[in-house]
Amino acid sequence: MTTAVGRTGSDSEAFWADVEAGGLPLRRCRHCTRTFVLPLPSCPYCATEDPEVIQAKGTGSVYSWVVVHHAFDPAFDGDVPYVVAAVQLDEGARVYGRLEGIPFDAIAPDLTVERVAPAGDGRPPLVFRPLARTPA
Amino acid sequence: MARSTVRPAFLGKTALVGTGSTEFTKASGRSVLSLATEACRLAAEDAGLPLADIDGVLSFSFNNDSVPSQAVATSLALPQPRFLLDISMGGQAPAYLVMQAAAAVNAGLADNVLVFRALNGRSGQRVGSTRVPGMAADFRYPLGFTAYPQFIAMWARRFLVETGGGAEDLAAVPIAQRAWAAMNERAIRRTPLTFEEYLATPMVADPFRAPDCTTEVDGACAVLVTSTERAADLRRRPVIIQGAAYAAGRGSGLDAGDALLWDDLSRNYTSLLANSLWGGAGMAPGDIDLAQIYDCFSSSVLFALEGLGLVGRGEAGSFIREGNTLPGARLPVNTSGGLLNEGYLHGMNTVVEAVLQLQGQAGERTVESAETCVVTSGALTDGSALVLAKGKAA
Repeated sequence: MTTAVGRTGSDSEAFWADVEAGGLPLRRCRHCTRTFVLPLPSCPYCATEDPEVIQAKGTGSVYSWVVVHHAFDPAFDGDVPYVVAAVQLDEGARVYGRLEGIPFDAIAPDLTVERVAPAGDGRPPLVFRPLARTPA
Repeated sequence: MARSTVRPAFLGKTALVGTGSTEFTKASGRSVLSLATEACRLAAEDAGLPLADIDGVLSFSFNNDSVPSQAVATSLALPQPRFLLDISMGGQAPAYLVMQAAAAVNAGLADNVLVFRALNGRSGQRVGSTRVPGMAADFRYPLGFTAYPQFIAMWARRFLVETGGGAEDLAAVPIAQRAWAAMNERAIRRTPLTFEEYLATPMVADPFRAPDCTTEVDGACAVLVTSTERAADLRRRPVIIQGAAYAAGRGSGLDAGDALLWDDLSRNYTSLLANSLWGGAGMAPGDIDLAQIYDCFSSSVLFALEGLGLVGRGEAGSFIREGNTLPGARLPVNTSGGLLNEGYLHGMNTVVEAVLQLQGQAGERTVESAETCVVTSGALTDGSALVLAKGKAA
């Protein structure tokens, strides 16, 4: 079942449903306490089973980013150019999200960002913006 | 952390003895089976080995874009295959499959093994934009993070951050490789490229511009693997498999585009396999005369040159800009023009070029003095590599 652009209604569905409702669920290992996004049955760092689900605060920093100028899926033609960032959340996990509210050439590594409330209307469900502007 | 230092038993005892390639086109108008059959037939002919002596066929496919080895064995009328293997993998596969073929030959599972890749990769399903099957894909696609140029651009950006590099470092790769492509009739992109021209090309996924991305093609390539003993009786100078390694790091992902658990996007699998590759080969990076690096995107050449220790950290871009990888220079790299320019035969053509070079069959681009060549397959969290050495002339 295709429920929205790019989604197949599989293991990610609970994640996106939560994200669309304003949450940002992470898995946290009950043993080593490291966090991760993917819905693995066990911790990818120490193999402990049954990680717990926690909610991220939605703040973090930019680890890397891509400015997409060509949408290989026509569903995103209307969005280009746009930024996809790999955001290192304060809880430790890395997550992908759109990055908005900053000129492309001002994006820098370690830029601190915060989650923007989901807009709905088919907009990307996970968007970050700069947390605070660096004083000139 | 302790890691096995076991040396693969087939090293020095197996060889690549023939290559075959179809034309590379934008629309073959042919079935994948027809392409695969032609490349395999040519590889056997190149080696001077009757088809009836072939008893193994190996191949890889991505999202079911190819045909099974069994179909090719049937098409080639092989009388009694003893070893057939199809794996679902991407660009990590070519060197890895040569390893499997060599291991099978050395273990007595088969005598003469073809490894092929065939696809209508331009007119049919295109790897660059196809939806990667797998669990992690659902965490990328709803964001418009959907295609390989974008996934690998994420790595390239972090590499530039970590090494202090810029557009000139990425651009150096296609610019240098065009100089080789000019000598390769099979190459799709053969016109010279300057940095100014590079900067005028369209952005695809910043930091990648069009010349940083491979060009997809229809076609097929095959190589033939046998023992060094049998190789001595064949037509071409054998190319000895002197080193071989595959590595996947911890958290290598849930699908072929996944890197969410990969801590350091500025280093790929080449950093992980370098020690076992060189150790097994009994060589050091300085012993290498040629490098054929899997280059679906320009950045993967920078990653591999540094990861394999052929240059120091952060030095790959300047090494190429200074001309060290050009014709006549100290370390020719991607002498076919690479996947960037010759076309995306998914890295099987990268292996073919290495063999052609050491056979002395690469036409005017042959580096006559080269005795050794390193070949890589893959760009991300896992991949494989070979060290090849020129054998005694037939």
